Amino acid sequence: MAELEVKQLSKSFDGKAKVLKDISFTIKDGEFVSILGSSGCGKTTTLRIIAGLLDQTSGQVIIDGQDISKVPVHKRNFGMVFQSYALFPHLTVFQNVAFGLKMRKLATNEINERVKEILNLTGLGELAQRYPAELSGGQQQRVSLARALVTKPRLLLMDEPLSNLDAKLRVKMREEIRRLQKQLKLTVVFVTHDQQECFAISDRVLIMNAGKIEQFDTPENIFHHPKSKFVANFIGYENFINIGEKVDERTFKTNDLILKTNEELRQAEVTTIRPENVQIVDEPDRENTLRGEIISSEYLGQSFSYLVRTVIGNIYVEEARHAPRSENDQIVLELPVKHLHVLYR
Amino acid sequence: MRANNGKYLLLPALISVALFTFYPIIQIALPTIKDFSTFKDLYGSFFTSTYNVRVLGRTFLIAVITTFIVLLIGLPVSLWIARQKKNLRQVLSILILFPMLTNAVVRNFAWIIILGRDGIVNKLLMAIGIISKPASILYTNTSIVIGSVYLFLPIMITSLIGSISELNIEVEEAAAVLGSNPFSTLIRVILPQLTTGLLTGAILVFAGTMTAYTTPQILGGNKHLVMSTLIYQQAMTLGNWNSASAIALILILVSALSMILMKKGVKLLDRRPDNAN
Amino acid sequence: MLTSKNKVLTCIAIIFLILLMLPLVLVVVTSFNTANSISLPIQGFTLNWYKNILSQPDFIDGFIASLEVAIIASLLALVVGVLAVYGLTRSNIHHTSAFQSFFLSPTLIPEIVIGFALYQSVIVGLHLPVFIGLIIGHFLLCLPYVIRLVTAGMLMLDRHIEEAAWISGCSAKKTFFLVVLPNIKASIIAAFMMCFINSFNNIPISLFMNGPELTLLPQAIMNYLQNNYDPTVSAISVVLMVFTGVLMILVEKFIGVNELTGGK
Repeated sequence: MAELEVKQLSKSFDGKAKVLKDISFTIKDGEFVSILGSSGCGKTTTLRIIAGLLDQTSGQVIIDGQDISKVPVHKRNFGMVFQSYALFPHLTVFQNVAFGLKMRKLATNEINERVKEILNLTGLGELAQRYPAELSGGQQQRVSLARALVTKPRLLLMDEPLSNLDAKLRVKMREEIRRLQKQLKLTVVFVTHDQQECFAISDRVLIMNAGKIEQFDTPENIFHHPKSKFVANFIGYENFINIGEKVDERTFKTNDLILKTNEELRQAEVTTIRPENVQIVDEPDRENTLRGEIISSEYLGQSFSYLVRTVIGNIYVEEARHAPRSENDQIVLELPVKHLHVLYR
Repeated sequence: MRANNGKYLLLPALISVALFTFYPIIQIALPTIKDFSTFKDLYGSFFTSTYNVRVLGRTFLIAVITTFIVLLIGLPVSLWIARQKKNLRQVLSILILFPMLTNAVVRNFAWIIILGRDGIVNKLLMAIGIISKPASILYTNTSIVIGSVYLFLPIMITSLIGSISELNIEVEEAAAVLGSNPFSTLIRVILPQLTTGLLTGAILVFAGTMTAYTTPQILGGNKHLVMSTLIYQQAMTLGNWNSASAIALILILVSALSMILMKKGVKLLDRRPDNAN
Repeated sequence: MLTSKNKVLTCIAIIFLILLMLPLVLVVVTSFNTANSISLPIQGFTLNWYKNILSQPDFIDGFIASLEVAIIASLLALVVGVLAVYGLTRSNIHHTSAFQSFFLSPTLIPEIVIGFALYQSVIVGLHLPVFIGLIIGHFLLCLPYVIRLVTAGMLMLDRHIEEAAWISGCSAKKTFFLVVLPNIKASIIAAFMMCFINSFNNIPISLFMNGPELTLLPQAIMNYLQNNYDPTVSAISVVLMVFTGVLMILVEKFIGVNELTGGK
């Protein structure tokens, strides 16, 4: 496996507006990196350029210090798992997996050995002689993975590989992919639009928006310290509180309400807090508290979600409780200092 | 693929169509328009000859009537086939395909047996006593229409079965729930959704009949010429090659023009959601 | 609702289905008639007319010539057409639909005119043998079938399958042969069959391009019909129907007859 470096990559189709705008990042050897973003953000374009399926307009793709921008796709020695799995319909599972080895002109007995090994590793041993049309979605997914891995690729690329599976299988497959990645020490680039999925599976997550990188960090850091309003919004922050007037480095005043945070305000204009971090408290006079009225409630299974009207606008609150509070209830909210995050962009 | 080599793959097809379709047609067209007097002579004399104009009119009329009849028969038959269970539908589709793939000479010849002086229609009519001596049905415009309908009906049915099986049956169920009877569902719900399919089929049949040679040759005889048989007669029997070229060009023009107009109609009437603009 | 159970619809459909088959059945019946002219009802049973086919050199030679022209023209159209379709569907060419229309344009020209024009430019103009003219004409007849059916097949093929092959280390050219062709096999066979059958049956294109040394079978039958009115025509018609039937059975066995019409 190898280290991947992407340098100032740009792409525009037919001279139209750029869909990728000078993006650069490095993925370390053996690292599992997800590219997260909504459709049209450029994540699939990035992956396809890395793979060699698309030409970049400018910039470089570098593997282990070697610029491969001009190397044709079939000579890059990468593995790729497609959203549609893209299995060869006219070949059996065994032949599908053996395809890449045949292209490398390996001896028949070595091909047999390596295919068998990878089929066993992915739990497909029994299905070797079946055709893709005779397999379930999950099985096709495994074949696709086995086919990508059997050539011992320098880099494994995955384009929304789990999005065609049902919810339960999706969780199971992502655990399995993670297990294989660790076992085989794979360098993986995984494209997805599912926030939960990529946080569960990745060492680092690269969030893209409109052809640019918004944030590239570990899931924990992104979750707790989103850098921009876009990232915060994308990963489930719903409450955005404007920084009206700065009182000191970590205190601000908005609508006559004084709020404190642990982070420096600098030039930021907005702070945010997750609904489950907002507390409903009894005493109204503590730090970072405000009064509000419940407008509506929703049952979420583990908890209740309330929309609360306050002087600084509507705030979403999630509270784990057995019985719901009723609408029009007057309550006091606390925005804990440590959970109020400053968004710098 | 990264490389744009695809365009070279198009070259053989581009060259062969240009060289074998357009070049020869230009070659036959040029002598007919080489100067104004030749042009006036050839095309002017075509349209001033009542005989030729009548041939053009007959060709057009036969095509229109055939198309109309084929639509009228094709719709119910294809509707019935398309609504059968899968196995029966497949058997019936093959049954329709068989005459379609059988040689046109054979299919037209069959109608000689049926419509000829000693044919079964005449024998039947005489046996019942409607006529006393054999009526001449063969070698008339009617026999050309019958033969053409027989020739093109399978094409229309096959094409309509395709369109009908794409219809969402729930739309008709919705109409039925709202109180529509089968006939009004056919007229108000099924037909409007099939306009594209019907018109596409109609274009095929119309253009096919308009330019057909075999049927008018076998079932029309020498007295009922259409444009294609006229071309052949001018060229091979009369040795009048330039005149044949002129008629050929008029035929291309008339049939292409009709097809373009009908295709415009398809676009105008197509109201399916994915075509809305 | 109009279902297959509707009685009016069923009646209409069955009547016309019978009318569709009846003429062909009559041809079969008359081919066994002992009378010297084609008539019904038949007076006795004989196979003599089938024997008579063999003593008509025009039919035998015509059959062989038709077979040759149909096979060569279909294969040529297949090679040229498949390449064009692959180029059109798989590269970033603009105006795809304009190219598509151009390739289908021979269908806009009346077949008799194609034959007439080819006769003048290829045979009279270039002094090429009639056989070459026939191949070219029938090639033009076939190409649109290939373009239509193979395009439909290509559009059904997931593009990512080729990409997967490239990533696995397969070059573009090899991918075409190892991955693309095997997966559009059904469309290719269907296209070949449609080309072959239509070329074999075609009259208008070959109308001007025949002579004493080379006459295709349909034309030979038409010539015979103009001079004779005996059941030999019925007999050769039955032979052609059997030929069509055998081809359809073969198609059904390998790819399913529905492929021929590009249907599902």
